[in-house]
Amino acid sequence: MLSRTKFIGAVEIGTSRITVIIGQIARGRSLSLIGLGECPSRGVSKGTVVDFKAATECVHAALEEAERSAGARVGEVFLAQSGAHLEGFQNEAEVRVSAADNMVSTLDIENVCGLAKSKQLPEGRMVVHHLRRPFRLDGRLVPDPEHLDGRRLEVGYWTVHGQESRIADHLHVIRGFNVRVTELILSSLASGSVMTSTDDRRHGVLVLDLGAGTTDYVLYRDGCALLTGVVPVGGLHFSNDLSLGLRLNDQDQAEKLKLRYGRAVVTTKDRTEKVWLHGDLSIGDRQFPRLTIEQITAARARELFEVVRKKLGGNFDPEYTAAGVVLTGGGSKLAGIEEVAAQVFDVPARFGEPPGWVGDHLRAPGHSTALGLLHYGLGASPESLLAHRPATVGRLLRNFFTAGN
Amino acid sequence: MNPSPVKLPPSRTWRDLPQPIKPRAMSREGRRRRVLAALRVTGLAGLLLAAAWGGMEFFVTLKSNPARLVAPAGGATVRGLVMRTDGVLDTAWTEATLALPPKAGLMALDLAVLQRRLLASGQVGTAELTRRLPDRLAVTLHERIPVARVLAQAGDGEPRPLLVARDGVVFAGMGYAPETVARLPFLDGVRLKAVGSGFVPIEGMTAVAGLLDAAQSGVPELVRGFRVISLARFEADGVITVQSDDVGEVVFGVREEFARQFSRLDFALAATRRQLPVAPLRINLAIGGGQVLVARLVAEPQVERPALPRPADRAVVGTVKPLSAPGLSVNFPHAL
Repeated sequence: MLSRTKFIGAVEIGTSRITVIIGQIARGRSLSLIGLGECPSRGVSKGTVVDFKAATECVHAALEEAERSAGARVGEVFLAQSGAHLEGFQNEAEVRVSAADNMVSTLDIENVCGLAKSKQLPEGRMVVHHLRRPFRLDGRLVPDPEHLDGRRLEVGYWTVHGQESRIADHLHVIRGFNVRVTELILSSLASGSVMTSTDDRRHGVLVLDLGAGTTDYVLYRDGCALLTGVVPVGGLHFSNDLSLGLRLNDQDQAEKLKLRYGRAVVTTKDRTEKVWLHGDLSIGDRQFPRLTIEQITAARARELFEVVRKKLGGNFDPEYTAAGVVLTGGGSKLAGIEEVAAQVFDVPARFGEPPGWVGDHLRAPGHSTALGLLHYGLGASPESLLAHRPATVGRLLRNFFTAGN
Repeated sequence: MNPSPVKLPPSRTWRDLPQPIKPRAMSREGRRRRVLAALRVTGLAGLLLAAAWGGMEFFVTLKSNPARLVAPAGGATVRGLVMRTDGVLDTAWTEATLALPPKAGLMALDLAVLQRRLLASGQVGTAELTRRLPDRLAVTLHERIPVARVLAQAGDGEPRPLLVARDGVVFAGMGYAPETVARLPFLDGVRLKAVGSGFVPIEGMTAVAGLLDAAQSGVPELVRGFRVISLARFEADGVITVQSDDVGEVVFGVREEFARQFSRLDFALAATRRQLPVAPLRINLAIGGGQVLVARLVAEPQVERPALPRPADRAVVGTVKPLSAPGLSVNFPHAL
């Protein structure tokens, strides 16, 4: 008899940190978070694996730690995918309803979905997600057009694709632990699913996951993901800017200054105010103008949001983004960042709050992607309406007889 | 008729990537998990093969020799007993009583029959028998505790002493030290009824056991002198008569608490000994109303005795005939 309890891992291979969360799924419905493993990242740059051995060691260490804390072994994982190699495009299709009585059938839906997903990719690229948008039946939005009356059925897909070799590298890092990857999920989709409510997504919301090496974003409208993207700029770039601007040789010192004094908006008025690097009067301790630190981090934050806004282009409309901007990820801890986001995107901005069932030790914004992996992976994926239709005898027979055509 | 679905060459997705990986690209933990997984698969396959083989054997046997399937499996030969008891019986007695046939198979033993053999002795109150694989029989006994002796005579044969437990069960008594048996009082005034190889349990033994328990806790120095306990008047009068080395004869009533009767006995003895320090007495505690009748058992002329101290709640009682001198009346009007 098969066990009704299943253990699934959620793995985020981040630029600064590897995070693994283990979830226990009972009877395919209830999810309990029972294990957490973290490890400082090595061999990963801007969300992609650049040193297989180093990355493997870190990921496996985090997996082992998570399994120890959970007291269970996982056989399969949901893996987050990020990186600048990920791109997306929109493809739409339209079919005429085939039935004489104009009632939309399953076949019509299959046809329009197949057409919308049929665009060929360049060599070396492969699909990560087909994100379906709502159907339109004679111009009106419908979540499920089956059995509705209409003449013209339209649907659009946002197809996310990535470089085959980089995706394979991620899979191989996990496979080196002898566990199977059952879902590959965009980091932004994972964060967005857990940090926003259904109402947020229906009203329109932009989710920004500010990581160390990349900033992932997803724009929701009408309850579906309209588009996604990755900007290869993250928290480490803030530190890098500080190290250049303040002429610091050590990146760790810049990181420390960013965490302590960095702000996304300039609030310091006094040009002469100085802050100590360490503050303990030790050898090598230096002073830096606070205003300069704030100016550097604020400029980078504004620039980052402007880049995102530019990449969103005409798809982003404050009128259709009533739920505003939701910020998450470790980079969102920069003071005043929500203020800048609100200014740049011209909509209210707030920090993402995980659902109430998430324990206190997992509520940090840095865990949002791993949490979202379990949430998104186990919930109903909106990208395929057909994937959740039970196979009927009629459909099986039809597929059997049409397979040879 | 519906048109067939549009057929387009599908784009490659990440699911098309092969997930198997060469062992050299795996970490040490990964290789370990891979080996464990392989062992699990091998074990499962082995189990399935064994189940298939077993099923095939069963089928073949069913077809060729079905009698083998219904014959009980003897199992391994019993190599010994593992015995536990709360009494005095030993392994040798148990082995002799069980009388296991030589080279008996453990699984072929009928434990119910063996249990009945053990219980037939009477000394064994309960017996638990369990198979302890691969080749041992575990026997756990709870023995009856004897509280009295009784002489049984069959026909013209020699009377033989038997032991009586608290619940009235009469048994031969094996393994007791002679001095232990010698301390037990004899039971008198009972008629043993044979049934099977034993006897019907004696009625009134619960009362006797209660009497002895009360004596043990109230006047332990007197219990050692109890020689005969008579149940001759138990059914008719509800009394138990005890002949004791130290007192003489004491009559107890079963309708009153024995502890209270022993209190009165103790008081009466103390009061009487001052007047009759060595004479054996007959003390009747079964009169009721808190009265005690004390009489001498030796024959002597009737004389007036000085009155003993008499508590206000005690009454004067009448005359009795001593056991040691039938027909001789002793008038002892001073009661306690």
